[in-house]
Amino acid sequence: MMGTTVSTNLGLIKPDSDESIKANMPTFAGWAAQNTINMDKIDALFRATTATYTLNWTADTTSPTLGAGGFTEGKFVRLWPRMVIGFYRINIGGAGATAGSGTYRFNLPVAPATEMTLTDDAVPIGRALFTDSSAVVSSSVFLASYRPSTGNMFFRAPSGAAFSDTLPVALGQNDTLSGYFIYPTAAP
Amino acid sequence: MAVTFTPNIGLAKPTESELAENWVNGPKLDEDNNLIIIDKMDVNLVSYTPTLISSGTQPNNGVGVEQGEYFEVQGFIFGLVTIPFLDPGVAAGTGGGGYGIKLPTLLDTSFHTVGTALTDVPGAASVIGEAYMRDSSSVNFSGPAAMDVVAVAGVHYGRLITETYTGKTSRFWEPGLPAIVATDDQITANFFYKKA
Repeated sequence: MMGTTVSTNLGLIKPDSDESIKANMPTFAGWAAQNTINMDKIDALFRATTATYTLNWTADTTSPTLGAGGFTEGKFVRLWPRMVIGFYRINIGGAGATAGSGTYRFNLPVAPATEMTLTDDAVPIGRALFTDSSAVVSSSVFLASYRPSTGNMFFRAPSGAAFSDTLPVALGQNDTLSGYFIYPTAAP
Repeated sequence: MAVTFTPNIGLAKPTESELAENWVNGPKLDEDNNLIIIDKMDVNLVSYTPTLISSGTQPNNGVGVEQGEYFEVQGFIFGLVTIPFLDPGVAAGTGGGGYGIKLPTLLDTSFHTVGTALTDVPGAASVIGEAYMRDSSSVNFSGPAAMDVVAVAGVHYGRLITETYTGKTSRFWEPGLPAIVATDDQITANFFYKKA
């Protein structure tokens, strides 16, 4: 008997001693073709292409509206390639900004692994800093969390309250949020 | 011979004729593939000195030994630092804005937003990590912080942005705030970012 087997995790082709010396034929791939498949699979594990994504800022009741100069920015990379690392920044902006109402939600660029849905509350995935442009004391550090029930990211202030139009303070013009997340995703 | 290579880490993909011709002896073929894979997987920790700075008279952590270590994966830096303060010689230094903790490499400024001074208002710069600040004499002034990044004289430094606490009058960890650093105080932090 001769032939090939495949490795457990990546499905890399492992030819036996007879198979390894076969040439490419119409009916089966020889080692050159098999090696190409293997190398492409291994190589794909090391891709680290960065990308931007549209960061949507919504809320449980009414979504906020960006004012003059306001923006949302999302960037991320996939490593190994199931680990997702992202960096984001938002600024509510000036004139015309409205805070909306309810707990704020933000989308993630890639769906987290299904194992992260086993909780009915939230999974911490990063940190963010909230800057109240009009007050130092209410500027703070938030815990970024993934909520499986909504599939979104939200934030908790040190008090435990979720970041909303009124917590930790009433959102004002030019308030900002900057942070990161890191989590595993399902499909490579 | 014109062997093709994979796009990310340059693994060789010889054709049948290239394989027959020179698989064992040619450059960038079987052995090189293995070495490349091993090199990419076997990532080493690198030590560096996470120098602490301020915008005025420089702080001094006394005989405490600051330590930093990092590793690189596909152009991303993952690191951690410890800065203990230990007498004799501990001094808070002076200056407005936050303390800066030297990062091991420059960041990719086309991917991250890097502030321009230790006094920058937080919020505009990228957040790249987190920290724990231990005040050995006060629970109130101990706690977590977020790390953003600013440039000072062409070097990139992490700043620690504090969470809300009673009586908070500064957005940063800075000389004198939230408390004057003293012996047995300690900063520990971790970070990750895309390097330049």
